[in-house]
Parts: sequence; structure tokens; C-alpha cells
Amino acid sequence: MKKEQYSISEDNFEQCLKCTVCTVYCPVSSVNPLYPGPKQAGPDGERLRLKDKAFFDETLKMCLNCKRCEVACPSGVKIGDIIQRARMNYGPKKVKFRDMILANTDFVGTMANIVAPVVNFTLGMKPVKVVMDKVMAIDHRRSFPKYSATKFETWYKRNVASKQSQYANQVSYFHGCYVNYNFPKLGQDLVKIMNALGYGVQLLEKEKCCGVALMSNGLIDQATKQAKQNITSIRKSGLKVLTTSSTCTFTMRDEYPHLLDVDNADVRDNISLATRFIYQLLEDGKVKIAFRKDYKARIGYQTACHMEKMGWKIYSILLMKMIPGVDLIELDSTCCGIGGTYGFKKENYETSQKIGSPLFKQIEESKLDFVATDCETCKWQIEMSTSKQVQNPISVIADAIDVEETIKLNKK
Amino acid sequence: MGVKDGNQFDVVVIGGGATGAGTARDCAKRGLKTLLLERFDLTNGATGRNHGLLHSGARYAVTDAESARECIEENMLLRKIASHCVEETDGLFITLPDDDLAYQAKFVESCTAAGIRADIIDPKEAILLEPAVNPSLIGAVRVPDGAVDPFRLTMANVLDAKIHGAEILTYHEVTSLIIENGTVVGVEAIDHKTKELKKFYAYVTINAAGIWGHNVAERAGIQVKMFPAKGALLVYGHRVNNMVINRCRKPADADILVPGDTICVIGTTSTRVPFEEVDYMRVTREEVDVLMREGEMLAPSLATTRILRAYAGVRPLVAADNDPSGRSISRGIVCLDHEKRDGLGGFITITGGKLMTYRLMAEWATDKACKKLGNTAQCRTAIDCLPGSTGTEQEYDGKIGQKSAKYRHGTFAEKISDGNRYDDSLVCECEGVTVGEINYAIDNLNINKLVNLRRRTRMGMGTCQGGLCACRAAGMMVKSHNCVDKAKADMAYFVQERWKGMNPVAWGDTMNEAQFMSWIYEGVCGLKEDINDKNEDVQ
Amino acid sequence: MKFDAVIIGGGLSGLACGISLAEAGKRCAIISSGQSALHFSCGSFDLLGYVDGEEVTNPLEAIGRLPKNHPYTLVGVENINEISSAVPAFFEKVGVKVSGTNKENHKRLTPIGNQRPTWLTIDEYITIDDSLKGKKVLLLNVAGYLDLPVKFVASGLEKLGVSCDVQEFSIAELDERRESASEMRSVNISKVVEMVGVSRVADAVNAKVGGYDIVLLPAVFGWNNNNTFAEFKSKVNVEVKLVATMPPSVPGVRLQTLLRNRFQKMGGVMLLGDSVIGGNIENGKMQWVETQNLVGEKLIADTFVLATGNFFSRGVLGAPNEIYEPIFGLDVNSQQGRGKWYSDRFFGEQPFMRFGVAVNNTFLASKGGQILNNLYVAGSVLSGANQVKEASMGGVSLITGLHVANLINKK
Repeated sequence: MKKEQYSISEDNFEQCLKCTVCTVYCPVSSVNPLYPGPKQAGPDGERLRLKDKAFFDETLKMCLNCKRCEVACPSGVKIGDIIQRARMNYGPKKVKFRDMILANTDFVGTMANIVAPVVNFTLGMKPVKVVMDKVMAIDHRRSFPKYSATKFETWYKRNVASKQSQYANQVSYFHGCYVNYNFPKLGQDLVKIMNALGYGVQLLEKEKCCGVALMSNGLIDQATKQAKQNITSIRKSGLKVLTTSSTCTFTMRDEYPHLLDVDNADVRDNISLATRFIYQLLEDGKVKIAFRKDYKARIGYQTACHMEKMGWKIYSILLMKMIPGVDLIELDSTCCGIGGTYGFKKENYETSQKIGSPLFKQIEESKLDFVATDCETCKWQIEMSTSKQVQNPISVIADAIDVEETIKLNKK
Repeated sequence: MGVKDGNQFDVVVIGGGATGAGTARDCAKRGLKTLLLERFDLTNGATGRNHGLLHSGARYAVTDAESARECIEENMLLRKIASHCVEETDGLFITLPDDDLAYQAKFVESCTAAGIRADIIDPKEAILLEPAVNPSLIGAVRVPDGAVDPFRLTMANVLDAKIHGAEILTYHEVTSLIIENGTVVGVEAIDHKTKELKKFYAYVTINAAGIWGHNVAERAGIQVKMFPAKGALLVYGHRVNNMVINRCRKPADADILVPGDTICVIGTTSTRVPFEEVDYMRVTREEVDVLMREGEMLAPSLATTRILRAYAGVRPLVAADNDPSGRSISRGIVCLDHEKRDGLGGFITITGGKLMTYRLMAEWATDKACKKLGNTAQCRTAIDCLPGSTGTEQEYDGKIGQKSAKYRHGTFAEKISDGNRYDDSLVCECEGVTVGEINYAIDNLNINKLVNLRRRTRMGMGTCQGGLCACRAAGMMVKSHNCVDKAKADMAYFVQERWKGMNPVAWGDTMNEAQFMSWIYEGVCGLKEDINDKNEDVQ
Repeated sequence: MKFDAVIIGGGLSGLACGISLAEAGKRCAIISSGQSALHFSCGSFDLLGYVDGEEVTNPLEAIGRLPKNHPYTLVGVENINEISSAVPAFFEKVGVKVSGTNKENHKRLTPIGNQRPTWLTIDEYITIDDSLKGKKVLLLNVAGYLDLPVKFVASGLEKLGVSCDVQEFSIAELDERRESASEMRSVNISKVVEMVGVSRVADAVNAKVGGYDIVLLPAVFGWNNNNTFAEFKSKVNVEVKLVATMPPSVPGVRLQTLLRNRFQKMGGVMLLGDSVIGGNIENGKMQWVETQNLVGEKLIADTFVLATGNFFSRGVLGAPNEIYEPIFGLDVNSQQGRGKWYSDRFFGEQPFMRFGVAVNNTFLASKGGQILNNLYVAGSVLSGANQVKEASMGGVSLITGLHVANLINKK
């Protein structure tokens, strides 16, 4: 008799002891009484849905998939996964046009890049926002991330690709849609740091959007297809694959096997947030880093939900704390309310802003120079809702690094 | 009506199980002035302690053709008259590599002879139909098994009896029979709530007390030789299977897995127990081990499924009159007219049988009573639907509580107050029981204690076995007890009753849950049990 | 990553230990798989309320009557005296004001109106004392809140000769919360109070309190800060006291947050939602542990503390025939055979409640009989105490957590 077999239920929802701890930390049920809360939507509801799928409740779509319930659960119940799986298994199969647009971040991104100035201009225009609001149910109060005129991939090929093989060590970089279409500078920052540390940066042979938005919008088949393509590419590269987005990282490492049944066991540990990778290199003494003496900043660190779930904020924080001029304040770990594409939807706007309000208040009161976070959607939300700018920790490092000195240190 | 304005009845029915309730219903529907006396709670005996299997009869087909025929007939009837108590799941009889596949042919042949549809299907098809089934099966037969909720079924019979004028008194234990001139003319009973002794008179007294009918008959100086047979079962935390899964072999221990409402049940063992123990049933570790081992053979995933509790019931097996040794025990229905058998008038015993045949048993007993009373009304219990199963069920698009209530009360769920914030709030979150439903039950479903409330609503029957809802519901029970101290003692008793079932299977999550319950109820709340309170329902 | 001390478990004992170590300048990390049992706190901390079923007035005096293997016996009465005397100050630094003494228990009022002996009670809570006599109390529930059986509480007070009326109040925003059938919970109510501000709530309460001396409310104020209740109290026209509720516990959640904040402020690293999956034992010492989230990262430390809680927190687990410590397979004290784990009476003395990890008299764990010289054990994961039966909930965690910190600091 294997003791674990009998003491740990395979049907994870049965580990729930009904202790209600998860309900304390759900950002949605705190502000929106229409949402049944993680306990009811998750383990309680799952048991009922197994009795009759008619117990599936449309309000489950109000779940942000922040996984804060899972972080809080003392019994290890994967509450967020249960809810997302229920949405996939029992939810409506037809996807709204609006959700399709929001979900296809890379397709829309590609189209937008081509006509970026026009898109940025029109997305900001009142009539366009009114149309989006009325016809597409994308909230008009929401400011859209700007699209870049040049994709990161294009920049990479034109400017740095050929130089990467000169470095003794190599890593791959999964840039994600945000870096590619909206903010190539973050990718450029990573290349700058890695090159200074003596690492060449390669791109994957084929990179697809990680699919997080597809999953949350019900486009499961497409998400699964892309997941498989990404895992194949990662496998093929054979290198450590660095990322600069907590959500892409979490999705590829954990959501692929948990929600899409895409097996990534052999490459999961190769996928690493760049801050973790760099921290570990430094700690192991494999590389050295030098920072500019004149860099000074008071930074508030916002723990993105998926970062909290992965438990990796420690790397980003410790890395930034290495910069001599940095005064780092860890903001209360709480959801900013955006939840990826969640907050863009008209029906969620109020909820989204209410969830974020304590965080926004803390940011305004903390006398910060700027906010740092590993998540691009947190960045949009905080920049839209507060007076502060937001940077990825990699960009912070890139700003503070003394490249010449670092190169020298690593040559010794 | 009732005790106040006269305690003379046509019929007194002793026993609040399915048979007693069905008999009270039948009598009342035939126009008899009827009283039902139950010593504790409705369904407290064997009725509430079995699989909840809507037998197709297939299980008995090879060994007992008569029982098989009765089963399939009643099975088809219950689907109509008790639709809200029945889940039409169908069942599989599977042959595993260790079993003799030759038995299958005999089985199918016997089923067919008894009028039970039995289709041999490909094992692969069986896996498609029921993904939880042991994939190593080598044979499968599909039969019209199903699930029946004995609590709902009994309550629906009681409701119908009440609708037709019957009076139902729970927590009234018959202490003696009043005999005048060789005829039973009534009973004396103690009201456990007030400790008062009361007399009730009736022209006919029907003993439908299951295994306890042995004692009732003894009080009239009559021997009805019964053989208590204990059957232990395990409740798993959720529905692993959606079809009944049986082993296609001679009936043995733990060879039936029945899905029912939110859970599934594996059972049973079968052990003869002495009479002195029937009120003190405990499931032993050995029984738990057998049930687990055999259960995993039917559905391997049971091995990693949380077990919520264990329980045991006592089957009232009856020895034939000509065989006092009990060697040829019948599982069939036994209906005794004691006037003919023992020369004692006005007294009928209805026993033996199975949950499946409760209605038929009631019909036989009522026929006999009617004959004695010269009543010629026809039995309509096979034709008229039970309360809750009449008409089409209302669709609820609403919340979990309303959907759940529809399962439990059928069309009578309409009577539950809802649509406002107070009534819609959940008391039991695992099973979706609302404030409105609790209040409906307290007002209408013969509730004296929290355990009664549990049997009527499934409150406290979910994963946490009453972790939070016992306290919420106990607060609401103050109006029923009319006394705070009694309501608190009731809460302690409820927790104790939940623990009784958890104890034999308390490891893993159930052990962790027990500790949580202890922290909350004894630690945080400082709840104590009243050791002087004789908790008579479940020892 | 290197630390001076790695503490496994972020409940009361782990945090108390961690704070104490960090205050002494140690670099600490706490790994906590989920939130702790503090979330069910009754707002009081018991030191010792019963020995062998008999109520205790002076807990320190009674400690000598505990069995040999009880954690308190191992700590020793002098140490307990010293540590427990310092606990109120420890809480004060964390930001929680408590009342009570280790020389004499007082009584708390439970969510069902019963009484339990206890040691320290957070100041905002009602306790049973003479000051209540002859007072007119209004028990004012939030409309629609089900986790406080008000009639039980009122009856409990009336038995003490206190006149107690029951009413309820609401405001529109609280009422809106009731749209959810299940989420009208204490913490959610407290979040609404934060959002609307205490003035609105105080106004609604003031409309009801005329003619009463004390208003008693469910503990639904300030889930993450101390200011809310103080501010609310200052705006209510009569004396305000709180009564503990069914879970989740608002003051418990707040205490958890304040303890964590204190720990982090002292430089501690908190890894929440992560689990230790194993470690490396060499030369009779734990060399490093690794966690689920930080795969491949060795958490190296001089000292380790196991404070993983009892069964509820999965610090120990039961298989059908065996009790085991799931992370390292440490030696446990338990009974052979499931039949000996339980009493038939739920409210009886339950042997399993005393099961836990075995330690020597310096709180070091062992594996296969071999002492691990740098793996300490603290809190509910220890064997020997039945915190429910003894009324030692909170006490065992605080005393052993702080004691272990002392042992480590002295080393």
C-alpha cells in the first residue's frame, strides 16, 4: 500500500478542507458580488459539475486566473486550474468576435505593426473608442498599448543577429508578443545585458504567442496548437530559453501541462525568466556585473499575479537590489486588476479598476520614481491608472549596468 | 385532527422507513385515518443505510427469480411515480479477468427470463459509456439499473400520506401494544422529546419497523424470527462513475458501485450480527479494507479518491416459519396476518423485502388492513405520482442553491422561498443548501434535529461533513427547538454523528478535515457535548 | 541561495521564530505552502486552560502536571515564564495590542456564546469579566451574515446576567455583497468597510445604539490594518466590542499580515505558496533544502526550522495505517494501527491530536533514530500537545517558536 496514494487525493479538488482561506485572497470576489468566489467556483462547484454539467456557471468567466487562491490554499488545491478547466470543458464553445481580436495578440500585432502610426492614432481617437466600446464591448476608458513601427524580430535580424555567435555562451530568447509588437526596447535591453555578460542571444526557430489570451478567451484548440509549436521549438533550440514576461513564462511552464495537456516535462526547467537566470549566474560566480555609480532610483516592485504564483519574484527583487543606487520597496502583493485581456472587456472594467485601487493608492503614496514589474499587462494598467511609469526589471538592470566595466570583469 | 381531538385511528403504522411511509401513504390514499409512528427519525434504519441502488433485479436473476421479477417491475414504476428521486443511469455488469466469463451467459439468460433487459456489449463500448470502469474488463452487460435516493423517496411518501390526511409522529417509540380480547387495539408510545407516554388506538396496527419489527412483535408476545444482517458501505467524495457498476458473478462483498447525487457508494459486506448490536452498528477496519480493495476492482480511480465516511445498515432477513433454524432465509417479502398466524387480531407485520419493493410491500400490507376494515378502495400507489414527481420540473437558470433544490424536492422546490438575498444565501456550500430550503424543511418536512435536516436536504453531507454549515444551520434550528441550549446540544450531536462515519476512514484528507472540525467546533467555538443527552438515533 | 536560517512553515510559530531570529540579525527565509491556521484565530491565544479535563487558573503553575513528552515540559517552566512574559511586547512590536497575563487565565466569549479559558486576547475583543455586569448590550449583526449565530451569543451573555438585545444593520454597499450566495464572509465584509470608509458604517451603527452601554459586533473590521477598528470605534457613540466569528477570522488574517510585514521589515525573505520538496542530509545535518517553485535552487543554511503545522496544514499526514512526516520522513510519535488513533466520541480525548514529529530535549528532529543537529522543530507539528483539549492553541506555537529561536540564537 503506497501511503501517498491514500493520503493525497488524485482528484485535487478533494484536498479542499473547506477552510475558506482562498476566499480571503480572491481579488474578484472582493469587489464583485456576482462572482461566486474561488471556493464555490472551484472545488465546491467541480463536485457539483461532476454530478451534472448544468451546474456550470457562466460567472466563472469573471475569474481573472490570477491564481492567488492557489498561492493561499494551505491544502495545495489548484483552485485556479479547476476553474479554468471548467470553463474549457463546460463553457460556451462559441467565441465572441471581440474576444477573438483580444486573444490573437500576435496576429493583431502583426497587422498593427504594418500600419502602426495609424493604429496608434486611431486607437486613441474618441470615435474609434466609441465604436470599440459599443460594437466590440472593449471599454472606452481603457488606453491601448501602443504598437511599435518596427517589430523586435525585425530589429534583431537587422542589427544584432549576426553578432551573437561570437559569444562563448548562448541562450535563446522567447520575446513574446509584447516585446515583438509593442515594446521592442525590452528585448533590446536583454540583448544588451546578456552580451555584456558574455552570452549570445538566439531567437527560437519559430515562436508563437504563448497563448494565454487564447486560453482565457476560450480558443483552446488554437492555444494547444501554438503550445505544441512553442514546446517543439524550445526542445529544438537545446538552449536555456529566457523570457522577460512572467505570464508567458508561467503559461509555458505550468499552464501548458495543467490546462492544455501539452507535455513539457523535458524542457520545462529550460524555460526561465531572465532575472532568475542572471541572478543564478551571478550567485554561482559564473559572471560578474558592474553598475553605474550615478544610477539612483526609488523603485516600487509590483508582484504580478503569475509571478507570485511562480514564486520567482525573489530573483527580480534580489537582482535589482544589487544595484547600489536602488532603494527598492516591495509593494503589497495584490492584483492590479488587469488580468491580461480581462480588464479590456467592457463588462469587467469597473471590477478591474476596483481591484487595482488599493495598489494604485499605495503607488501614489510611496514617493516612487517608478514602478518595476515583470508583467506587461500590469504595466499598462498601472501606467493608465497612476501617475507613475513602469519598467521591467530587465530594463532597470539595462539602465543601471556599466557595460564597459561588465565586459571587462567577465573577460578576466 | 390528531392526538388533540381524538386518538382513534383506522390504522397505526409503526416504522418510518420506506415501507412504513409507503404503507401510510397507501392507507391514507385509500381513505383510512392513518397514523405513522417512528421512534426516531424517518429513514433512520435500513432505508437510509444502503446503496441507494435502483435495482434492475439483475443481481438476483440467477439466484432468486421472484425477487428479480419484483425488482424490475417496481424499478419501472418508480421511474414514473418517483421521478425526482430516481436517476436513470443504467448499469453495467462487468466480468474481470479473474471472473468466469461463462457466468455471463447464464446471467443474461436469467435476466431475460425475469423480464430484465440485459444487453451484452463490447468491453470497449463499456469503457466509452463509463470511463471510470476497470479497463481490464473482459465482458460487460448493460442493464436498467439506476440510482434512487431513499431519503427523498421516503419523504415523498410521507408528504403524500400527509396530503391525504395521515398524521406522522417522529421520535415516538412504541413501548407496548394495547391488547383487548385477543386483538391489538392500539399502542402505547413514548414521545422522546417530551418523555411523555401516549396512547393511540387503531383498528389495525401494522408493524413495518424493519429489523426492529422483531421487538415490536415480541411486545405483542409474538415471535417473528429475524436474522439481522449487517451491510457496510463507503461513501466516496464525488461521483467517480455515472453508471452503476456491478461485478458479473455470484453476489459477493463490495461488488456494486452506485453513483448518487454528488457522491458514489461502494458496498456492501454482509455479516450476521446479534440482535443486541443492531442499534450500535460500527464499521470495522476489516470491512473498510474489503470495501476499498473490491471497490478498486470496479473502478481503479477509487484508490485515489477521498473517502468521506463509512456506514452500515441492518437488513431485516426473515426465517421461514417452518425453518426456525434460519437455514433457508428468504430475501423476499414477508407479510404476516397475525390473526391467522398467531390468533392475535388487528395486527399485521410487513417485513423482509428490499428498498426496491417498498411500494409492493406497502400494497400487500394495506390490502390486508383494508380487508380487515372492509375497505374496498383500489390501490393507486403504482399509478399516482409522488409529490415532487408530478408535472414537468421547472427549469432553474438560477443559482447553485436553486438548481440543487430541484434535485432534492422535484416540483416541490417551487415551494421554497427564493429570489431574495436572505433566502438565497447558502448554508451548506458543498451541497448547495440555501436558507430558504432549510426553512422550508424545518416548516414542512418533520424536522426535530439537525440530523433530520441533513437527511431532508443533504446539508452536511458534502466534502467537509458539516464543517461550517452545522453552525449556520444550528442557529436556524433555534426556532425549531425553541431553546438555545437544545440547539447547541443538537449541534454537538450532529458533529458527533458526522464523526461516527468519518472515524473508520479517517486518514489523508478526511483526517485533516477531522482536525479542522475539532479546531473550529471545540477549539474556537468551545462546543461541548452534553453527555447526559441520550442521542438515540445513532449510537 | 544562502541563509543563516531557513524556516519551513509560515504560520504563527514559523513567523514568531523567524522574526526573533531576524531581530537578532540572522538572515532568514520562510517557505510557506499556503496560508496558515491563523486564519481561523478566535482573537485570543491560549497558554494552558485545561489539564486532564480540569480547568486551570494559573497556567504556569499547571505546566508541571503535563506529560513528559509535552512540548511545554521540554521547554521548561522557567523558559515558558520568560518567553510568555515577553509575548505581549512581541505583539506590540508587530502592531497588535493584547491583554492578559500568564499568571491567570481569563475567559473569552466564543462565536457560539460559550466561554473558554485563555491567556491573551486582542484588545478589541469582548472578554468575560465583571465590567459587563448590569450593562445593557446590543449585539448588532451585519444583515445577511450567517457565520455568527447571534441567538447563541446573546444567550451566552444573558447567562452571565448581562442583558443583551439582538438587532442587525446594513448599508447599501454591504447589502450589495449579498448578491453572492456564498461570499458574505467576514473578510469580504471588512473589505467593503475599507472601501466605503468607517464613517458610513459608524453612522448606521449609531442609529441603533441609543439606550445601550455596549455594542457588540462580529469581528469584521480591518483585515489588513489596525487603523480601521480604532477609527471606527472613535466614531461610535457607545463602547464597541467585537465577538469572534466562524472562519475566516478577520483579526487572524490581519495578524498573519502584520507578522509577515514585521518579518520582511527585519530583512526576512518570505516564499509564500511554495513547498519544500526535500533536502540533503549529510553528516547528521541538513545541508540544504529545495522547493517546488525554485527548482534546482539549493537553499543552504546553517540552521533549519520545521514549523509546518499539524494535520490540517499537512505537516504530518496519515495513510490508512501509518502517520508520517511528508517532507523528510522524520521520526514521528504516533500509535501503531488506525484503531488506536481515534476516540469514538468526537469530543473525547482524540489520540491523533497529539501525533507529530518527535524531538529531543533541544527540539532537534531525528530521522531513523539519528538526531539531525541543525533541524529544529516548532509549533503544531510537534507531538505531545492536544491544543484543543488543553486550550493551548496559539500558546504552543508561540512558546516553541520563540524558544527554538532562543536556542538557535544562543548557539
